[in-house]
Amino acid sequence: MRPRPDAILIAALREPERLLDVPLSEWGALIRRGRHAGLLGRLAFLLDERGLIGRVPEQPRQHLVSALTMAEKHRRDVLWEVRCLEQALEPLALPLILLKGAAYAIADLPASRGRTFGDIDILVPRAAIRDVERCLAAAGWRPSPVDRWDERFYREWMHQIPPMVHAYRDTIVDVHHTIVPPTARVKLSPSKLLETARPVANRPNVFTLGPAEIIVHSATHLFNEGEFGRSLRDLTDLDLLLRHFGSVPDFWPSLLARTEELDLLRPVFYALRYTQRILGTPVPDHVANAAGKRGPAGVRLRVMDALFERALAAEDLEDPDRSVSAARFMLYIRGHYLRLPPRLLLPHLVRKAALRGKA
Amino acid sequence: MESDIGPAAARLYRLATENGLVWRSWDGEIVVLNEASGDTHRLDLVASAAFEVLLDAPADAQTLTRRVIEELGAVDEQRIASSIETVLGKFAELGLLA
Amino acid sequence: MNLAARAAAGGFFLRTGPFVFHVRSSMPAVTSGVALLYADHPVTDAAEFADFRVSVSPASGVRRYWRPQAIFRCDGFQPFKPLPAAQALPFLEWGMNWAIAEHAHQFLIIHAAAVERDGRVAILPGLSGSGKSTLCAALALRGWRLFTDELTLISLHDSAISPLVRPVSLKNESIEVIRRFPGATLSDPAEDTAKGTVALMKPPVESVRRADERALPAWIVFPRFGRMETTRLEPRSKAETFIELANNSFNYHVHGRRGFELLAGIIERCACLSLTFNDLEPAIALLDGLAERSRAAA
Repeated sequence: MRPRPDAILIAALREPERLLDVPLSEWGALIRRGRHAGLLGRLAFLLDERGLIGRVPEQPRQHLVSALTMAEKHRRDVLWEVRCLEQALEPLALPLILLKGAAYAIADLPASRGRTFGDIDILVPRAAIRDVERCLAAAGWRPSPVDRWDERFYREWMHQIPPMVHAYRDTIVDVHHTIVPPTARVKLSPSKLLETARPVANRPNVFTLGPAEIIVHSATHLFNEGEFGRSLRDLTDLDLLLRHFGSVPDFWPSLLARTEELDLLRPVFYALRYTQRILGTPVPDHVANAAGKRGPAGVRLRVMDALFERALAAEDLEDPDRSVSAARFMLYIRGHYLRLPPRLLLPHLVRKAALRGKA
Repeated sequence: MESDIGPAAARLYRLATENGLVWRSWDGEIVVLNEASGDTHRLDLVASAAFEVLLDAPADAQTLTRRVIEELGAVDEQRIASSIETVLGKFAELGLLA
Repeated sequence: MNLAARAAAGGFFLRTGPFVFHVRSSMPAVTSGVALLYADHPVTDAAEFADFRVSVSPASGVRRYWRPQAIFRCDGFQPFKPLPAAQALPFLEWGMNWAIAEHAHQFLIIHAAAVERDGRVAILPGLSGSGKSTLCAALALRGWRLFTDELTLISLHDSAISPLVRPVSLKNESIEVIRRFPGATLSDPAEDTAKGTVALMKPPVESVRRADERALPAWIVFPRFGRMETTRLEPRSKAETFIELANNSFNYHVHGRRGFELLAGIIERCACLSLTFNDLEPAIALLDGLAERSRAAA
């Protein structure tokens, strides 16, 4: 196999000390790749945590310091946004279940360090969706402008309502009532996720999913949705989550049990496989084998390896790699195929393509 | 919802120092950062005086008004009393009150 | 090979204050402009590291025949829609400003001009139309050392300001006003930009030569040009100045508590003033007077 063009970045994620051996002449491309992949703050955090950031040459160090500063700002902002959401939804006396980045931040998981956050994702019971929208609107969130097709697409076929944007803060909240679309071929009962939600320390009404469910959700999101722009960042999230939860007793058996029960073995298999292959995540053999039994094998597995390992890359736009964009395009089609019933798939893709052409 | 103790117990207003409030005062005007929200605010003279009083100790609206009048040495007590209400509403909105 | 030819070939590395840019362009308006404006800057053909790789290139597509356009890229990314090719040179400058404002959070960055005299910096914040750039150019041609006309870079460690000596962007009537100053070198004007006609003034050689000498701020002066006004310098509220600097900052909100403490320290140490002026000469005289008094007091 040819060496990955982002090999230095990958090596640095696995062993941050390696960055100290990078010659100044290679730092430029490393910073461009890290920044584009949303990983510059994480690299900076990993170095800072080890007390090594001061040993990076002055010029590239400034970019790391800058990214770390930005990551700290994002962390403060996401925590404040959660406070605002808590307040807005207080009248409903619902558990506020946070997903993805916001959950990592509020539970102070290693996957939240040196990270930037975009939309805040929350999970509420389907029956409460209307009330949640009403309360958010009363507290200043507005439905983001979407056309009728998109509105229908979101509400009927996707697992969320259109994102809501805060009128003053410009922050976005995505309200989910499940973590895979109701039309997806893999079925998932939202009540199963709500059952295992865990309270956050000192925040009686705020919850995250349980460790196994966090992994299942993160893996499903990364490997079934078809968006790979920041996929290496998402893979490092999975790596950090697995390393963190891996030492919790019963985590691995409960991950397997949950995965089986929710019928989401495929994305979890990919998550374990590529975190292990790309980032060296420790996964017990029996877990890898158990997940592998239901995964693809032979030629199909080699094809998926080729696609995912290319798509899960940090690009340097100064030195673009066509094989990365090609792999991402194929996985984008696959993502829609997994999420949508066939009669919707083609019209939706055609529309998306037409809109892209216009933009 | 305001009070379970009864109408006689006036609400005590307390600054939300747990939000990480950092401030400076120049010529009687306070600039305050709410670290949690990330927003910085400039307080006018009445609001600045109210902020300083609440820094000393939590107070109900009546005590607060009296002490602001003492601080400012203002004569128009009626006007101060009505602006204190506005100030407290603003403080709450900005996340400065616990 | 001259700078224009080098820009068009592999590009060159340009050091401006704390940043190294790799600059490339095949467009003659850009290459000749860059050759004129950056003639005194440290430029090399090879460098181990560039903070940003920027380029301005002609847009492809059939439209290029009747409406030629320019594309700006930074590190391969295109942050803006293409602009008419006639604006390619200012486009490069705006793009370089964007790269710094967007990525250099190792500084607190204020949208303000900055000039220095006797080791003391005057920060001149101001919206477009305030006369900030014109005043900055005039001061730079009258013995003040140019730091920047757009991006005041403040250190989070010691409040010192880093010079970012680059061309000063002049608009409309101010182009002719500055052209009349002895020693002024201006690029060809680019017309019909979003800001009207724009020309760039080459930074004075002395400012370029001393671009590594940082200095502490001593004055914050908000300029406001008004034809019908009398020229005057007035103190302004420190609290108001704080809020206006924060609002005029590209990244105050990024720094949280450190940003607050830094800005508060700067407000504390600086004289906060408003400068209303109807003509450059008396305005320069007022600021020279400030510098003179500080020197006498020291």
